[in-house]
Amino acid sequence: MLIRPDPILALNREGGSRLLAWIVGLTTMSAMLALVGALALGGLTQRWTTGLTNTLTVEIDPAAGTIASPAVTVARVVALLRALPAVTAVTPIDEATTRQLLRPWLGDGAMADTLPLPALVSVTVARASDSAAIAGALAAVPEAQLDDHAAWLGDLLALAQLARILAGATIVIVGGIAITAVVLTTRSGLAAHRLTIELLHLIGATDRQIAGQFQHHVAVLALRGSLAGVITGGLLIAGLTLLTPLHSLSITLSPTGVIATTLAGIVVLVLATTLAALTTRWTVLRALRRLP
Amino acid sequence: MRYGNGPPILSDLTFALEAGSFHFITGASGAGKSSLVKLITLAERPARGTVTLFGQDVAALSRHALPALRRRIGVVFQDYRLLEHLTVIDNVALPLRLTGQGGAAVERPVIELLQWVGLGDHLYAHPGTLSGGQQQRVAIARAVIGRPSLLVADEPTGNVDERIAMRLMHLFEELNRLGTTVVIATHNMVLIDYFGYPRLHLDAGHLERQSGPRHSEC
Repeated sequence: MLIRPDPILALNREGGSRLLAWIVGLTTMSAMLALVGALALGGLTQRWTTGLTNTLTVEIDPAAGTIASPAVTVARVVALLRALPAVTAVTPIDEATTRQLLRPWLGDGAMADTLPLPALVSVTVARASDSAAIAGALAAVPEAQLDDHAAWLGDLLALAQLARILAGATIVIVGGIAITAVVLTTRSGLAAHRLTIELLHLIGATDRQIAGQFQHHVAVLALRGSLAGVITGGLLIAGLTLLTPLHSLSITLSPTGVIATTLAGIVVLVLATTLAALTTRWTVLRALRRLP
Repeated sequence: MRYGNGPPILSDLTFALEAGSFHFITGASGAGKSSLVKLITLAERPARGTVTLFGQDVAALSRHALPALRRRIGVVFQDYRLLEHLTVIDNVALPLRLTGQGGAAVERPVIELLQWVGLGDHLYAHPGTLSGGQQQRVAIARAVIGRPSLLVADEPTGNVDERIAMRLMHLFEELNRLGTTVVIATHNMVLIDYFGYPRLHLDAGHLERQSGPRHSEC
């Protein structure tokens, strides 16, 4: 074919094009990190919620009991709970285990061995809503207190929710930065090619044809930039997961995590490219409407 | 017509060009020839008054309707306005590409036309490597490749020698014989006198219509 379908506008000769690819790449990487972080937090809070909402702890205060010994009270509580249909498991926690659990906070000193501790009973229920029935049954034992972990789990979930909101805000902000960069680059291109655009109009080019030239150019740049950003982001996440305590959370290295990260990368890639192309089209069409 | 808030460049112009006619626009430098060309080619719109092209009031047309109208007009610019990053063949094929055509339907007429204007050996040259006269011929080939109903040329022979100028004028005449309305803005009195087509003479933005004798031989 003698006539090559070269771009009519030589947009790739501008230095701003390379800069745009870099900006899209960096913003895409940031968006991907934020998105994967939000997904990981979502998975983590889900595990916390499902893992703890069905588990309750009964505390028997040694100071509160005046008649029976703690061991007798524990046996009474265990018998009471095992009789309830909502309860699926009841496990008394012996004093040695309790002291072992508290050792990181109390240390190895004498206080750790002499401090009076509550007797603990771990209870597993079929549904989180069953905790009300348990609390009702335990009312018969004044020394026993039910801890459904709601207080500290609520704070933790609120913190996780805040982190997810911040991740979402990060995605919105970097998206805004990318859109601004696209608009400025497109306007710069329009100014640089003003005479050519005028010529194209005069020989019968439609606004859509001219916008298509810019749109194609920016879409290719955004695709390249976001591909580099997504790959770099993916490698960064994998590196962070391997080299930091995040590894223990299995955020990305599990099969589900790898799939979620890959999907997040594809979503970010497609969104970044589409957003850049549509922003360019809108900017060009809006500018061309002002011409004769 | 005026540029921005500047003084009127053209005023009180009323004329009609018959379909299939051939006219020269003449006048001294600064008389408004290029501005009149811009009005006729829809590069500018009048501040007041009406421009009617092919029976349509330009002011009443929507923006979407303008490209179709512009494709019926071939324009040769004084400064050529060739796209430097495209080859000669690509420059000339541009108006056809914009109509969605491609392949052999574009290549054949483009190559034939370039051979006709003496640029058959420069199909893949870039405009920057061509002389002023050669670039002018590329610009003319681009203007006529789409067989326009109206051809408007602003000083089309300004940078070519007499032999090429005569050849280009014959090309314009050929198109005119095929039904294209031709308007040429020039101050080349030799060509004006030789070809003798009617003149639209501009003087300080005002139009003075003149007619010249038709030449007897080409």
